[in-house]
Amino acid sequence: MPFNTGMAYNIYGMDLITFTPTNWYCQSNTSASDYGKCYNTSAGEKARFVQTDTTTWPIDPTTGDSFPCAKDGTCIRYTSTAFNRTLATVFSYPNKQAIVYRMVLRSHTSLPGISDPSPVKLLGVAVYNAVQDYQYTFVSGVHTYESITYPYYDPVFNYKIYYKPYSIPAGSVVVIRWLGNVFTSILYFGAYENGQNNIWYAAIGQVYWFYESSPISVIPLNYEKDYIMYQELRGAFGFSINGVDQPGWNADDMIRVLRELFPNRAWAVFDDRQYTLYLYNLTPDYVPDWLIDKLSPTAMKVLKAPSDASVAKYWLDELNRRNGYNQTPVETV
Amino acid sequence: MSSNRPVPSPPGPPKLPQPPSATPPIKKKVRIRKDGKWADVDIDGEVVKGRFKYVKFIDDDGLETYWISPE
Repeated sequence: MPFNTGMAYNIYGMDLITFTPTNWYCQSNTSASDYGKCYNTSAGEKARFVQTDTTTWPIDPTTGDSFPCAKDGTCIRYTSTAFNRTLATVFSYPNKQAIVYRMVLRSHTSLPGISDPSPVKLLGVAVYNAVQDYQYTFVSGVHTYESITYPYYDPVFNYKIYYKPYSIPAGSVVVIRWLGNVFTSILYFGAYENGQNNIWYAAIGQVYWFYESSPISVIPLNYEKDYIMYQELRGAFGFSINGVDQPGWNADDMIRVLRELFPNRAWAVFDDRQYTLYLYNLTPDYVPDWLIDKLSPTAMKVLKAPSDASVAKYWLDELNRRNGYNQTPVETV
Repeated sequence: MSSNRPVPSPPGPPKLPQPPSATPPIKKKVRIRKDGKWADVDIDGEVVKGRFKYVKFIDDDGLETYWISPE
């Protein structure tokens, strides 16, 4: 096939399936007795709360963050304001280019959002590319003199916005769907906070892109800690937040580099010429069905059977989590 | 009138549990399409993953291999 399709969820404080739409919120009213609390966040995913006052809510090295939602683990608190905050790198393809073609975004925020007449209060979560040509294209550009009613459709950028399609206890909801073409070798998921303090937001962004069919590495990496620091990795294959759509030029090179850098982790390499999926510290028992259906390998070859089942299980669980699957993990003995 | 009752046979030696067969189970041979040619391989098992079925065998390179089933 000439192209592969990549897809990634970026989830902050919402449940993937239900979005917990009406009863989800954080309390940003400083007069409220429950100020700083977040409610009904889904386990494992955290909302974002900007609160710079570290005198009232200090961060102690031993006891941690005293801000309510950070303390109870329902948010990640930022102690400095930002205009643009990068939340995640969706993919980074050195020497390759991808075509972003679809995006679905839902954000819940404490601010009025895009319908507010004052642009100072605008807040959104969006995807953007390296040179930021398209930064916030998907949420900005809609001013009150252009449109005052929602749903709103922009025929130029071909996106559709629903603003506050239903009520939440505090703040607003923005839903954006976009279908188009953006060529880029790197894509970020970020929030436009516009330097505001005492704000919160939660979001789900689902991004789809094409990339040239290539051998791919299948290993869930941390972009900052595992990927960007190794030139060898960046020379061998690209990074994707879903751990799957990581194209390179040559499967042998990818296997060699991964053997060298991650001898004790589980990983796989898919050779798209032989249609062979090479497994390292893995057996087919740990390979999820959705990955087989996506790649359709003719053969799977076990380079090394797992010496420790927990290593293989981590690989499986992390791939499932990053790709929105909740398969029952295999039993570990 | 003679009786047709069967005559019980004298008790023989007690039957001992049979030991497991010393010969390994017969391997199934399947024909797969490999490197553009047909190859007959002895398989060790079958695995269903996703919408595919794979046969398991040790390939010429010595690696445990799962090849898409011809069936």
